[in-house]
Amino acid sequence: MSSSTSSTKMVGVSKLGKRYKIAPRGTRPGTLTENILATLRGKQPPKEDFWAVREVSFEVHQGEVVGLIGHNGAGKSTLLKLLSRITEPTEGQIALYGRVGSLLEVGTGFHPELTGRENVFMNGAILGMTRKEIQTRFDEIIDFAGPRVALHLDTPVKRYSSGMTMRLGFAVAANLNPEILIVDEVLAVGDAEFQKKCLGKMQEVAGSGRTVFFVSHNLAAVTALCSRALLLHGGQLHEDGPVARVAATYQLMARSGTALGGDLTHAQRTGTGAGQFLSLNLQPFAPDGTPQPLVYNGSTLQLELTVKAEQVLTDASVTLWIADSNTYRLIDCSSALHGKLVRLEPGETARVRFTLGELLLKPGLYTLGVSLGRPEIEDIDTIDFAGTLEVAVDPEAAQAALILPGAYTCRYKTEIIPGSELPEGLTVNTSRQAA
Amino acid sequence: MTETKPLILVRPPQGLAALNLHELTQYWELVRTFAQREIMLRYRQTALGVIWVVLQPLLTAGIASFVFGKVAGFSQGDPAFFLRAFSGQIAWTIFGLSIFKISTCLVGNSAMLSKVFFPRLTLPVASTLAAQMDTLVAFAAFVLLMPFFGVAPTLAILTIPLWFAALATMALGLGMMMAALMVSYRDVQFILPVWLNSLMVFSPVQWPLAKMAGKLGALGTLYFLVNPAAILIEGFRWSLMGGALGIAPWQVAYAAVMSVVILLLGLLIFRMQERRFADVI
Repeated sequence: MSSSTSSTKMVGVSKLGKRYKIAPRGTRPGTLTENILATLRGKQPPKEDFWAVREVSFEVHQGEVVGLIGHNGAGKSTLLKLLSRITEPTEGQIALYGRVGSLLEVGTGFHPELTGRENVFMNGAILGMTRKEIQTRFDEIIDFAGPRVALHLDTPVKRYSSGMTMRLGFAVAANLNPEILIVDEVLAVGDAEFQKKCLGKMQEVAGSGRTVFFVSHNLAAVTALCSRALLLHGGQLHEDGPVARVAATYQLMARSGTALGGDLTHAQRTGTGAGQFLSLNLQPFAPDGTPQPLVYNGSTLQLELTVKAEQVLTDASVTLWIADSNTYRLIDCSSALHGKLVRLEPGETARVRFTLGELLLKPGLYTLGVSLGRPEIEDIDTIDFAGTLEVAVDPEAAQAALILPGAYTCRYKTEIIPGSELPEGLTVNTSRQAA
Repeated sequence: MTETKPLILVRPPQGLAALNLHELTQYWELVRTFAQREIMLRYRQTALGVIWVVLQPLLTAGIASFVFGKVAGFSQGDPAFFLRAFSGQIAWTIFGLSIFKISTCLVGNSAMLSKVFFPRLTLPVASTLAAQMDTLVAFAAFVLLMPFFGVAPTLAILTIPLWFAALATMALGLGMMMAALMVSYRDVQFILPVWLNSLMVFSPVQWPLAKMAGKLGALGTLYFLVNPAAILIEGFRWSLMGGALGIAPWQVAYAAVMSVVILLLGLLIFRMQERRFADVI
């Protein structure tokens, strides 16, 4: 960790809190006349307090790259908005010891009617660059955005593909020169090559001694980029420390919490949509069969997918794979190999459970991908990043003594359990064990 | 550890917001860029382009001079009645139309407001600059038209910057109030055109003040107190057309003071509401 006490403090946050007043359920916002009348009568409509962020304190020093992780609604975005001064805190304070460049959305202030060139200047000015700065960096920006953007520099941005718009937006922001850079979920856009370029650029920014705040749901990216991480939970700072430790806590929370993670309804997907994955749940077991919170080399891992049919599904198979951080598929499990196929009427759901025995993977982060379809014939629903799998370092096993296969294979069994809404107790009885 | 003073200290807002006008000079570049964008965008994908800046007030003035000059008979053989109507229309461009343009500056940029920090004050100021650029073009057209109507500029034309400044200041103040209110209450966008229309009808934009002054009698004083913009519009017309100034010096002073008061009030309301923009918009 680079946060030695000798380095310069760049950000100091103390007891930060942001309260929103929200109307209770079932009420609607008042009109001007209603509000004036209510004020005159001295009767304000009832409002409930909601603390999006509360009692958050931390310090960040020069050259640190800090990842901000947490589940949806944990307060990440609010904290970023507070840090980038978009919204003002209700209590506490933030001291910033340098110019802040925030990148909460790529291409902020892009206007569809303006050309690419005009938008570069517009966007740069909004992000706090002077015209001269943009001019000197213009070629660099266009170079970073790529040749296709360079070709259409004088075309209105409304005629750009969304990818081109994103590229141009990130290119401007990446060439900002703030002492503190705040980046939110930018890597969710663009193709793999561009994502890599973005990551590289951020590493470069961090390497040059500037401070970076990075928020992402992509735990692999956070671990790759950051040395330190802050874990937010329910608006409060749950943990602050080395990224590996915080990421492990985060994943642990994902396992134990019911509402945490696993939901696939908002995932980026491809396919015909005739059927959809609703959720993915993980449960690791120790070799002796007892459930355990983390995955270790040699664990047994149960992965359960819920599938919902939008149209009639006949003979669709479910594939699940584990890929490394370079998106190489290491382990593929297909229900078709066991002759298990999903047959569902519209609206019906089923659970597909893969039990992977003796998972031999070295500690690290892996991504999980899932696919529903008929191989080589039809892709119904594919999610390349359905979740992350962290194989934790087993404190009781010596690293050198790990048993690892030369090739990645894994024995697994497949179960298809129709009807996911059934109570837990019942499903055990109806589940058909695979051979 | 080196304990230096922070560059920026963010704290919960307390009491009346400071006006912090120095932000505007710091971010002058952004103001310019916003203004430029607004001007560039306004006439994009129009066949006539910037000609509309002149054409719009010309057409309105044409209709006004027909209705008030010919039908109502106000012109009474005044060959320059059209030009008189045009000068009123320019005054209205400085005032009424600017209020309208400024009022949408926050709601129209809501995506930006909730995603990036910049001094919010840059938006209404940029809108004012963009709106007043239109005025300058229309004014140039007016000067070109003067010889055709046999109107020669008098010394009064030297006072034009004063009327212009007062009208633009008042417009900025009112525009900021409207913009800030519109964030919480979109009702503003429905009532504003109605209010502006009635304001135009009740101000000497399309009709000469001299014709009305006699009819108003004692109410005239009250009228000007309620509608200081009318004083400035009349003064603006006088500076272009010459002739007798139909308003008293104290009225001019009152209007000037009011324009500053309205600007300060607008600034204050804008500043107080500002902290809520990103949360409410």
